[in-house]
Amino acid sequence: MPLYNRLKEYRARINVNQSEMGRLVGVSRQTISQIERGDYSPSVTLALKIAKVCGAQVEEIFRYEEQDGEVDSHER
Amino acid sequence: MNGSDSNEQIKKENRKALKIFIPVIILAAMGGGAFGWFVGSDSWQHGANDMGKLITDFFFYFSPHGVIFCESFAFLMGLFFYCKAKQSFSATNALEMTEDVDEAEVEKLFEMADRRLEFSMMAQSFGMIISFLFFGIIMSGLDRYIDEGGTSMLVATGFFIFGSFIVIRLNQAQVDLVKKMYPGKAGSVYDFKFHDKWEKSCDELEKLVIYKAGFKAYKAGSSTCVALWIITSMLSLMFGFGPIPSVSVIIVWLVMFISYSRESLRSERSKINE
Repeated sequence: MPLYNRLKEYRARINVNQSEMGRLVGVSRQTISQIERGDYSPSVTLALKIAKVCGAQVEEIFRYEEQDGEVDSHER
Repeated sequence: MNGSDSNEQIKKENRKALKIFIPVIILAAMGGGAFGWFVGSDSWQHGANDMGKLITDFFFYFSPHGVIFCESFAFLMGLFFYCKAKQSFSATNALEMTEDVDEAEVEKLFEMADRRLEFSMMAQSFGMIISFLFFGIIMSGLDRYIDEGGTSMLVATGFFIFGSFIVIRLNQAQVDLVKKMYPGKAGSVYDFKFHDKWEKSCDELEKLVIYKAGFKAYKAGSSTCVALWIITSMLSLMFGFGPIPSVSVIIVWLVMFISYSRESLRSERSKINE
C-alpha cells in the first residue's frame, strides 16, 4: 500500500531534525527516518500527531495512491 | 465472494497442499519404520555402544575448552562491536553539533551504530548460550571429571562464573548505550521485569519489529521442537538414555504454544494498541 509523504519537507519548514521530531511526537528518530523513506506507514494516531506538530492537515503530509487492481470502496 | 465460493476455495487449497503432504507423511513413516528395525538389530547395538562412548569421550575432553572459548568469544566480540557502536554514535553527536548538518550522513552513522550494537548483543548471546551447553555437559559428567583430577572442570567453572558476570556487565553497558541512542527507553538489565518495561517504552514501529521477530522465533521454535522430539526419541532408542531429553523438548514446546495462544486470546479481548 503506497503511502507517500512530505514529512521531510514539513520538518524542514519548522526547522527540527529527526531526533527532535521524534521527541515531539513520542517516537524514536529511527521511526521518523523510516516514515520519511516510505519504509513504514504510521498509525492514524501517529499521523495525526505529526500533522499537529507540523501545523498542517494529515492529507497535506500523507497521500495514499491506489495501485492498479485495487478497488476503491465507492466502486464496490 | 459468497459462502459456497469460499468453501470451494478452501477445499481447493487443501487438495493442492495434500498432494505434497501425503507422500511426505508416507515417506517419513517408511523411513521411521526402517530406522526402528535397523536400530533394533544386534549389530547396531554393538555399534551404538562404541559410538556412544566415542561421543561421550569427545565431549568430555572438549567441553571445558568449549566453555573457555565461548565465554571469551562472547566477551571479546561483544566488547569489540560495542566499542565500534559507541564510536559511531559519538560521531553522530559530533556531526549534529556542526553547522549545516548533513542529515543523510548522520542517519548513515546512526544506522551503523545500531547495526554494530545488534552484532555486539548477538555475538554475546550466541557465545553465552553455547557456553551454557558445554557447561551443562560438564555437569552431566561431574563424577568422571572429579575422578580424573578435576582441574579442567574447575578452570572451566571459574571461566563460566566469572565470564557470566562480565557479560552481564557488558550487557548493561549495551542497554545504557541503546538508551542514549533512543531516549525514552526504560528498564534496567538488573530488573526482573526488564522485558516488560522495555516493551512498554517502545514506540509503535519498535513494537511491530519485536512482534514480527517474535512470531518468526515462534515458528522456528515450533519446527525445531518437532525435529528435536523425533531426534531425541530416536537417539533414546539407539543409546538408551531414557525419556528426559524428549520430555524436556515437549515442555519447551508446550510453554511456547500456551504462551502464544494465551496472548492471542488476550489480545482479542483487550486494547491491542496499548
